[in-house]
Amino acid sequence: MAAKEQLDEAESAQRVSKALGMKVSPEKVGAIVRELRSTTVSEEVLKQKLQAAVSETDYDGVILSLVQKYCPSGLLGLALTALLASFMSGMAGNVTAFNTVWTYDLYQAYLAPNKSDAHYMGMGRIITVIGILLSIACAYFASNYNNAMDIIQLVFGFVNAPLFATFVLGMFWKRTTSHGAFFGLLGGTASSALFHATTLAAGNAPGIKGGYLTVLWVLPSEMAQNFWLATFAFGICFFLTLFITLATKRTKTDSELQGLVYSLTPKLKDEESAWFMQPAFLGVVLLACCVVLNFLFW
Amino acid sequence: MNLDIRLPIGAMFSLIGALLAISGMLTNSDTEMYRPSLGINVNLWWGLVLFLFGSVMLTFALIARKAAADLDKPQKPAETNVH
Repeated sequence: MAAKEQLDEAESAQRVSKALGMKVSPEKVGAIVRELRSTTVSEEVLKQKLQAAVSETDYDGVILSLVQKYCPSGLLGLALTALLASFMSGMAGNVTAFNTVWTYDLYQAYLAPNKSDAHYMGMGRIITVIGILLSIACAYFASNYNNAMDIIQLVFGFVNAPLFATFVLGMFWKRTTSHGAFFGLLGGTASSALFHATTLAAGNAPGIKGGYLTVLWVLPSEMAQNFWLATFAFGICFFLTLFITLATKRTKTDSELQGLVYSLTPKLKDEESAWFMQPAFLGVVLLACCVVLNFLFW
Repeated sequence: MNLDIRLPIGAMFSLIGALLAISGMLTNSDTEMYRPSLGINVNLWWGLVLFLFGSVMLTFALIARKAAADLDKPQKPAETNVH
């Protein structure tokens, strides 16, 4: 009898979770179900109790639940079409970028130079299929995380934060050498990996989400872990590049770096165009809009 | 191929906006249908917004097309002045 009741609890929790689109705690749902059997509960109270039973908000479903909740038929169809169109265009852009980078920048440049166009075309097709299979595998990996934002921030912190330090130094400091940039980036990315391997967000088990070497530091959340990781990776890449650059000899002349480094590039004057066409003016307007909207929807 | 991007964008937005606005007008009395959108006839209003955006795009595309056509034409008044 007790076992059957427990089964009911798990099943009802699952059904409630599906209907709400949110994860719920089975015990609390079980308590509500038991209460419903014995007494009558008003709809308002039931709603409050169900909301209290939600254990984990599903942030990824926010747009879908917005559409579901507020769109009448008509606008609903348009919203779903627009959503699908934006998913598809994002996918298409990434797939194109992936097969171009692989075929042109890696395969043609280093692995198989001077082949026929038909050969590279075939390679492009094969790598498109492989890339899509890889992205499906990535989706399974990402489903380990609570929401898409966490995994996106992790990838950005891991890869883009050290890369940003390299770009900033390369664009604004003409002294930067290629050795400094290469080893700085290598060290920065390696430090991301090391940081990820030795820290953990509170409530996670060591493993795929970090801490697989040892756990030196437990952070309050996954997002905190991501931001500290990005900070460390950026800092280490920045200072490593700086020190290695100062220790190595400069190999490029100023004229070779024209158009690449800010201080050596002739500045464009945009004073001739109308005031509403000037980037500085448009930028200030956009910034002001951003600030105002932030205060409005605080 | 020298297609002004404002032409297809304008055509698509005006068409969808018109469809949405018309369906909004036809269902204006249906209060049950507009309960999710807090009693606002969003089909009508958003359809009008889309239609307006599309029309602005189309207008700019047609102005640019006319300007280009005027430039391509041999400038007859100028020639007669020279003679």
